[in-house]
Amino acid sequence: MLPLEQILDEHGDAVFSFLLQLSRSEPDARDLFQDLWRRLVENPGLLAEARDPRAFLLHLGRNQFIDWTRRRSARTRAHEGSHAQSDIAGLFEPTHHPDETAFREALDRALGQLPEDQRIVVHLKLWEGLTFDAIAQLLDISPNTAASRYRYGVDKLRTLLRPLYNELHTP
Amino acid sequence: MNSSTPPNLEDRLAQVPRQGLPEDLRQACLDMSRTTPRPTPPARRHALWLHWLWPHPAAWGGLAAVWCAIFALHRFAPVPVNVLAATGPSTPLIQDPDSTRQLAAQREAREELLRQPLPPLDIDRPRNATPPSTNRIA
Repeated sequence: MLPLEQILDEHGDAVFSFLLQLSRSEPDARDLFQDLWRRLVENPGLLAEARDPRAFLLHLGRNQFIDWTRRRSARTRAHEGSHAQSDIAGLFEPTHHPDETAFREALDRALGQLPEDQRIVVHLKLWEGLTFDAIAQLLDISPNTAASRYRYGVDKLRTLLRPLYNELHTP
Repeated sequence: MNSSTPPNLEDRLAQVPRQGLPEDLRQACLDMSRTTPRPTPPARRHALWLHWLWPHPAAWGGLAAVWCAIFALHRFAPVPVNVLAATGPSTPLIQDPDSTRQLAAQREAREELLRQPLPPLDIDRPRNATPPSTNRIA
């Protein structure tokens, strides 16, 4: 079994990025990550039988998010006080290049306009490099569904980003 | 439709580096793993239950509690009297003295009726002396 520090170094970025994509709020992603990490620390055997630790952690993160969303929706019905979600969630590393900054912000904003199920598949495919079979297993859907969600999501991103992308890449 | 867009958009998107784990959060997690004591065996069993009941432990736990309540009611609820009568109890069911007295009085009345002789039954003689045909003529 891997030591926790090694797990954090190898998979921490991917899990945090995924939680950020799900919640689209950095404070919420931090809370979710800490809760997830606490579970791992308190139950070190959780990862013992996982064939693919990263996929297992992403699955755990998604369950954590679903549970948290339920709790939060119950809470906000009585008391509106959650973190306000902006159109830019800070999904990508900041850069000093103005054109690249504009593109990353546009991409962040465009991802926010996708339905959650498409956004998750696009994230797992593009930034985690998972196959449709692996995505399907992680999300409990069929590979065909994963592929079609990805296709719809990318088409929408293409439509939303086309003007800026053409402008930036026109010689 | 998308012919004006360069074809390698997906590759371009995949190259955008995602936001990594913030350093302060990483440090906080490392501190947590150092300070949190290792779980004892009972705690591990408890954690296994929690993992099994994931993602909504309250819902699964509630369902289990309802089944336990149904089982307990079925097991320990008093059995209806007619069911007891059908099974043939060895002790009298009615212990109330008033009821016992009433039963004894009913039994005596029944025995008294049985002791009285019945009038002899003559099946050859008609029950009504006047035949129905005479009534019709009159």
